[in-house]
Amino acid sequence: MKSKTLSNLPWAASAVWLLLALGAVLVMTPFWVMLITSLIEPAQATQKPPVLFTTVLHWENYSRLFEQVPMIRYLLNSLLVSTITTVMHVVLCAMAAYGFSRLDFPYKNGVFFLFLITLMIPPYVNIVPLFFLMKTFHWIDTFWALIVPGLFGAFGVFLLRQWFNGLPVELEDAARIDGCNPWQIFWRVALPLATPALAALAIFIFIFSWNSFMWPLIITHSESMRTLPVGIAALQGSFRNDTDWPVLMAASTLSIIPVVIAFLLGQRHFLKGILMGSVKE
Amino acid sequence: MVLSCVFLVGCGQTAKDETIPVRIQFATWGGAEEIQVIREVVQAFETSHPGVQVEIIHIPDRYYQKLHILIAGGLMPDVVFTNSISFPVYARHHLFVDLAPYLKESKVLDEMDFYPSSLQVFYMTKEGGKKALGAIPRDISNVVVYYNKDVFWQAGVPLPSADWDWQTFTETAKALTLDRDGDGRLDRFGVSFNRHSSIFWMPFVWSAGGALFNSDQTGVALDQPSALAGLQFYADWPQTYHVAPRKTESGGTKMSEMFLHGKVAMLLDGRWRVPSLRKKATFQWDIAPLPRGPKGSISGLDASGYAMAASTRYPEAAWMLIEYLSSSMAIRRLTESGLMIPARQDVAESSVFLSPDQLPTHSRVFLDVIPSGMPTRSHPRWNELSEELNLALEPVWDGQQSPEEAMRKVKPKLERIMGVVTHE
Amino acid sequence: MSSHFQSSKSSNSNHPARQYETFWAWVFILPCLLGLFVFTYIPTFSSLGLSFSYWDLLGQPAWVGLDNYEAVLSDPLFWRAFGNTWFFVLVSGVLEVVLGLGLAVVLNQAIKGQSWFRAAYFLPFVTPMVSVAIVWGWIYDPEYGVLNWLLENLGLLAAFREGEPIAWLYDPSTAMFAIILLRVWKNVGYNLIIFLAGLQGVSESIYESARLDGASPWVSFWKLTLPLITPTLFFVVMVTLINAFQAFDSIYLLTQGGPEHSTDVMVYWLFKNAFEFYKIGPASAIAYIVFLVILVLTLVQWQLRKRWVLYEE
Repeated sequence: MKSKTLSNLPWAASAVWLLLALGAVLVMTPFWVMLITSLIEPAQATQKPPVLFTTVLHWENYSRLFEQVPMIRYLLNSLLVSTITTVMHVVLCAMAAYGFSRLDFPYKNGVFFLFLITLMIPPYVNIVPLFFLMKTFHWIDTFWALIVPGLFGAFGVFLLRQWFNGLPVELEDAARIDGCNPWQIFWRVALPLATPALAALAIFIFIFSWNSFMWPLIITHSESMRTLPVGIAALQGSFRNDTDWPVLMAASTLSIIPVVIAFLLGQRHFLKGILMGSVKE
Repeated sequence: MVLSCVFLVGCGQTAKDETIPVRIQFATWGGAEEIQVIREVVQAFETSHPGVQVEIIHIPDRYYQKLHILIAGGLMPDVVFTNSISFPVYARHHLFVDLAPYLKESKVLDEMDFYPSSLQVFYMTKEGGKKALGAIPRDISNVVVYYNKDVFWQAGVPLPSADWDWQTFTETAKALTLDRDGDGRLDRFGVSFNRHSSIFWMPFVWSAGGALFNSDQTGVALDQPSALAGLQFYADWPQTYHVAPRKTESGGTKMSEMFLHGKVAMLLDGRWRVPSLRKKATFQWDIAPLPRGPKGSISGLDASGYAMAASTRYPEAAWMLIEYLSSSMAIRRLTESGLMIPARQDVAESSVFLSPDQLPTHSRVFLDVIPSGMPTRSHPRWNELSEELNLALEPVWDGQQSPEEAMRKVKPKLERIMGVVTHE
Repeated sequence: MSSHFQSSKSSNSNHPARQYETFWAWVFILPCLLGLFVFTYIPTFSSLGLSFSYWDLLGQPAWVGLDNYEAVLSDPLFWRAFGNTWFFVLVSGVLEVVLGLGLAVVLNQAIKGQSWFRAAYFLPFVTPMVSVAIVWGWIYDPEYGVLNWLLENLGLLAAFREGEPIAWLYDPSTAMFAIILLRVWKNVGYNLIIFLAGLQGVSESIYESARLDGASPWVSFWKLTLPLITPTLFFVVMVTLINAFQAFDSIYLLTQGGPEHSTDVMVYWLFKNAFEFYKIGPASAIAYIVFLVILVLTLVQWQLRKRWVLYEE
């Protein structure tokens, strides 16, 4: 499987390994700094030299955080928005992908091109008109605005179309002969067969939604509607001259824990999701 | 099913039942402590006014960005806390109610309660050229000189007097500037230097007899000789006299940090600096007015206050809230934090503000400079103007360009931006 | 793609089987298409209209023709942002691609702890920019930051800066590099993973024969690996560039385009025009210019790809 070129040069191999390890340590350092700073006293955060290790853990920073801002609410908002977005986005993409892959209809290529072209539009082009669209719908500062515009994307359609194209049609034949219509075949046969691709896309969409910042920043204004990134940015802004670093770091730490856990648990799916993203059209 | 319930909770569009208490929204900024006080005051208001419920829209950061979006989205809060600098764009669109009649009718508030200049910054022009009042002022901001007494004593320099002039100021700053180890790099600067905010350099333009705009706000007046002299005086600090840090000498460190660390002996700043100095300063400090220029010692004067949205459905309730927030009791509570100079004269003159047992000893200076203060006349497109001005002044502060040359270059640009206002 | 829901192709579109299939196709495709229409197409075209208008979000938009484009294109600050954007895109792009490829080549070997390394390098990619920007802001702090402390202890500040701390985000000459470093740190793992996939698609036997021919790892990388993964390389370069063009969060959170416009990039400049200067017209014009740049870039990529990519599966 693996190339053995390096192991033939033991000296070079250990040098490379050391470099990799050093790089990995450097890459992980910000996370370590985040965690440690969330557990020290506020005064220690503006101290020279910086505190990078500590034995006295000030967990009260976390309780102070919960007193200052409704972190749980932010967390639940983010979870709700990201989960619904992910599930619905994936289903809608899968449906369209299945349509393009398995069914024939007039102007199919033209319609497909309509999907293709949206991939090139930078989201920032749309932000002001989209805001006024939300105003027309009376959706400003609601979950609708946080969720609905994020449900549609052409990227997943391409991804899943590719997957469906790779599935042998024969697998669906039995259901077709039993008199199932395309809708039933899609749900009963095609979708289960696409589980790995769906999971991968889902994870990708989840990260994207969890981390999204500009749109929720613009479209929410009440404290109870803020998602985690918007809430944390507001917390940071509220300090003005006197930043309470430990509290801020505590908030950051809490915001990355869910994605880190999700990543470590589903690492294989994660990587597959990223790999699927690289499937070339 | 569960989902749709959640959606409904988030969706603020449910019909209002007119028989239950009216609900009004109140937008404000404020740090953690400040917002705590505001919440308590608003709660007290709700208790004493059972017919009105107040939803506080707390926008801790980038306030006007959010406020603008809210207004654009048709969701302007009923009561809006605003400062006088960002106020004109909304006034021009007639988004605020004229509060002058309300103030006149009020049994709680009186025009005489407030410093006249704090009202003046909120005047808007009504159709027919009549003056209208856009907001009831809460607090006043101006700029004074904070100084580190310990450093003055060590250097044997007399403390600033209330009527010091530009020359005394320069000499003081020179005497306080110090290269301790003789390596050619200054270890302490006489005075702070803020490059990016007009509130720090405009006072010297005014003190020299200059102005930012011409009198009808159609053109820029910064290219006039007196204004240029003011700009030159400020630019001299880091350059000619080198008593203030140059760009490379302060790096990213904030001036207030350098002051706290004894790296600058005098700090130009506003009242909002007091709480953190009380908490963190390890030395004796006090305040003095800005030094006198050819036309006197003139600080800018801005105010923040409560405005009522023209779109409000409940003007009576909104006014009751504004009245309550502007009452002596509420202003006292907010003044206790030490963050602000109250626009109410009774509270300003009381021990709540002057707090004789706390630093600065001469708290009164904040009040003494109010009468001579220059009420801000901002502009609907101030953000953009300020951006261009900062950019143009950068080489002046770095000693690479004369104020004259910089102003000659930037003036047409500024006037073009100002001109677009008429473009409706 | 030929359909499997009809046994024989009928050229007659009124044929019942054909109608049946068309009906179901629309059932599947319409929801997504409708969504894209409402939330992408309508706003995109409205935005085009706004780019020809004067509007401060409060009054009514007024038609001004090409004025906004003229104003934007004659504004030195726009060109500053334009230049900054390219600098940002190219420097961060090269670093992300080269480092990603280098790491992937090394991690493609049988190395102890391979999956741990992969996870470590990839982790920043999954975390929210808001959270990591806070930490990086602290790391970059001139006074208390870990970075200056590290440089000081390595003797680098004494050697190159006469002991003066570097102001990172507050110094116009370093702020952009600080933003780039954060971006590279955050994104390199993504490229690493994609390159790894590309490399694993390269058959082992090719390397074996190269090794038997006595080619060094260095030579076989340039002569074999690189040509064989050109499709992946193209994909990575495109994604990296297009995403870099749209960088916003880190700049909004850490520098707001400053100091002295040194980190103003086009998307941030657009946002500032819209939500700080309330100039929706010019903001929309900038948006369309960004759109155009990305479009041209994509077309160039397609052309290059046709010419250079060695093989496609």
